Amino acid sequence: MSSETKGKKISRREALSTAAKIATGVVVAGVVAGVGGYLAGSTMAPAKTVTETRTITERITERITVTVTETAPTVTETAPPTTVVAPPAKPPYEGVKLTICGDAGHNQMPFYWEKDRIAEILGVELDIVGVPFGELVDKIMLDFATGAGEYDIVVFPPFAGGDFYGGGYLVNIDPYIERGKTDPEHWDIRWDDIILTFRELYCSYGGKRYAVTWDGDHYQCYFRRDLLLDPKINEDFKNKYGYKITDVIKSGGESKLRYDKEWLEIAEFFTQAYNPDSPIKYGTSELAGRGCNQWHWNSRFGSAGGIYFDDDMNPLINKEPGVRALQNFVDVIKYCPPGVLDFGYEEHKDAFLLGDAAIIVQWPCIGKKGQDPTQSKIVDKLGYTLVPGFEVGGVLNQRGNLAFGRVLAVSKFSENPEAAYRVIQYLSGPVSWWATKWVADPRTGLDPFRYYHMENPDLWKKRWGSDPETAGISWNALPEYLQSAKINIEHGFPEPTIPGTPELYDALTVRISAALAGEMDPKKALDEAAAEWIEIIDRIGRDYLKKAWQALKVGWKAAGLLKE
Amino acid sequence: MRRSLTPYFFLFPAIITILALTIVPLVYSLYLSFINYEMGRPHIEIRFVGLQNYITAITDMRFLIALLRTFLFVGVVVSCEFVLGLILALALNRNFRGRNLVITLLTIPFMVAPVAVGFIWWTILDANYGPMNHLVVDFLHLANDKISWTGDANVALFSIMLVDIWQYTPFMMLILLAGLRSIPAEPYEAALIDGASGFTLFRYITLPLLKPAILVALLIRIIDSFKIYDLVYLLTYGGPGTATEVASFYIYLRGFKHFRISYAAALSYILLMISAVAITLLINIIRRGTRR
Repeated sequence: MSSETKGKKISRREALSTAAKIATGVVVAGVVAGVGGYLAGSTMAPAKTVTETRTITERITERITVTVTETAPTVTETAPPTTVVAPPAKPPYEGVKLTICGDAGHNQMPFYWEKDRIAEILGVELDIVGVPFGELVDKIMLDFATGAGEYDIVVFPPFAGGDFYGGGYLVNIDPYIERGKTDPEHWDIRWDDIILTFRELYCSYGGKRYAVTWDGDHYQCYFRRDLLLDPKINEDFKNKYGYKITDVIKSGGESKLRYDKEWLEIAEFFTQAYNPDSPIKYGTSELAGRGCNQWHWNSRFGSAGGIYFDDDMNPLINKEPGVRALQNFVDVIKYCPPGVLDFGYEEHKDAFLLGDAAIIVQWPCIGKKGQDPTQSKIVDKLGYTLVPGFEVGGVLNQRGNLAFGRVLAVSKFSENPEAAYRVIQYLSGPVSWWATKWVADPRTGLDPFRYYHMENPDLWKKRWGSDPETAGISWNALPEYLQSAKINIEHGFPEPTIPGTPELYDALTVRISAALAGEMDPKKALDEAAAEWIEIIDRIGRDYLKKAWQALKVGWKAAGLLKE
Repeated sequence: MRRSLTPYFFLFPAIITILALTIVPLVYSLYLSFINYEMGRPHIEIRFVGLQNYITAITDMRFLIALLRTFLFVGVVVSCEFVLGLILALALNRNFRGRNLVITLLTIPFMVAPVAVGFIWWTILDANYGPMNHLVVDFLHLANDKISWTGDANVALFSIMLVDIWQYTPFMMLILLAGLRSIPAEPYEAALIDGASGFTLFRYITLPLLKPAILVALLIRIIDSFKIYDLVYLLTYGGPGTATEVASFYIYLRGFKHFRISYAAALSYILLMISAVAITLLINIIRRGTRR
């Protein structure tokens, strides 16, 4: 290139040409990277981050007596209640391969523990795909919407159910459930034993059943009983606030905590920045991170008497209950550990289990993990009680959000839906003590969802004692824990599980996060969220969502969670 | 005839690959941006909507703010990486004992997968248990209280910038060092004979001759930084509020979290056009500087 050429000005055409070349280059790079990333992330190499715990599986296998003989096949469990189930003479689905997709981590452990037994009894070879917690709904939706049919069984949180059920992507399991009642080889899943709240809110849509509950998430209030029930501390507290903490908190029973009174005062009292004599660093902690803070706001919102929409699908989140809920959420942040605005499940859990916070609201798995010395520094120091609330019309209204949860369902693209249902049935059936094994195990995050789980604390103890890894867990507070679970489920406040909920939640969580960070005041934040909700509702279809909302409320009423 | 077809025969696999992996998805995504497709919403009739997605995008304040934040991010990180990379490259452009070892050690952050970097820094920046607060608060006493590196709206974006600078400064250093090594010794020798000082050598010889390498390094990093997503996802998930929500992350949310595939496609094309224009302007500015 000559110096003359170098010195020449670039013409408009050259500039456009250069821009076009660069644009093409960027697109090529982007698309290649995108496709590569997609393939690496899903199709070619599905994330399988959970390692198989072989040793544990063998230990469990030792404990369950399974007799499968050629002449008189029976599956007998040694645990109470003694249940003899007649399996098929030979595995009925020999050679069938099924893929189960769920969030990677502790909640997939039962699949790994039982993989071999499922192959032995049902003949099903189970391929377990674990995807990151935050990607679960997207991955499943991608599989459904593209019709790829990679997954036969899916584990998902019911807040995505609106899109999955409404989209027609799941198999109606009514016939299988009914068949199990009369055909002994198909085992009765004991549908009515699933707690009414969970089977109504989680599993049914438009009067049909599409899923089986796998994780009975709800909120409970946990506190440090060694501190909050301590007589000396209670005297000091009374001197400052005029009442004892024990006047408003009872472990295993119904507390009388108000978010805007006792909750704030207890949080202040136990925060060293406000009370240097506090034996603990922080009064409380919150699940305040973007993407999950809506669940803690939901609890406050429900307690303040709020409901998400009116009958015409106009959002009500920015009305007085919503603002009251968010203002209280903002007010409590100063009593939380640093970084709380970024807290997700793990950070919030650790703030309490590692001994930094005095009282929190969180999912039930904290209750069992808190008594496990391998995960907790506060074994035997936990108290369990009803979540706080707000006074509405002079009455204390305490509602804990029935946040997240998990269900098992069969994809409509599965080539073996019956076999897929049978795997679900196995995991929640008699051989697994109707899933008590999984919800009782502190290594999982699965929570009680059957009446059976509540009524058989001896099975929990048996489970803990069955393995050296869980043998150290403290048994002492289990009755209180189960009693608290029962009360909190009765006081549950449901999520808005209609189509579009992930997008509605995003609009909400971003504004809650902004309000908590002090970027905008609660009213303005919720006004913005409500305005975006209206856009979303109108785009997806107001009439379509209205029907879903009305159907949802029928389920809430049936579960006794909505009184209108 | 056979001879004239031979080159095409060898080109055929590459053409097919480019068509399948680049051109077809590109055209398809353009098509998507003109319809109203939403994943998993079979009740919504798919139809041609013209420029509606683009009009929605340019009136979407959250997207526009995310775009501005992306520009801020790109401007800060690329500038810092360039300055630091140049300083390191100049320091390493001489022979000393252990030079290769130093270069290897300095390039380690660049060799780590971004996801791993995200997790490592997530731990480092943890407000309660991370070593960063121990260093800043307990050891250096630069702050009285623990800093919420990823949970404070005023700090979070800068935390992500810090991590990006940590990871990609070595890349800048490597490119610039290669450029420095390719500059011949003769211009320096002539300038020294004329009595030029160190800064004069740098200003009038090193910098002009290094410009092709600078251009390459800046272009790669600017294009790459515009796509920032992984660190945001891992460290802050766009929060608190929308304090760290950048354009790519916002597009991801709309497309994969909210299933609005067509709208996300339109947002992608807007981002692409903006970044292409920005890069063209940058090339022109640098070329103009070279001519002078």
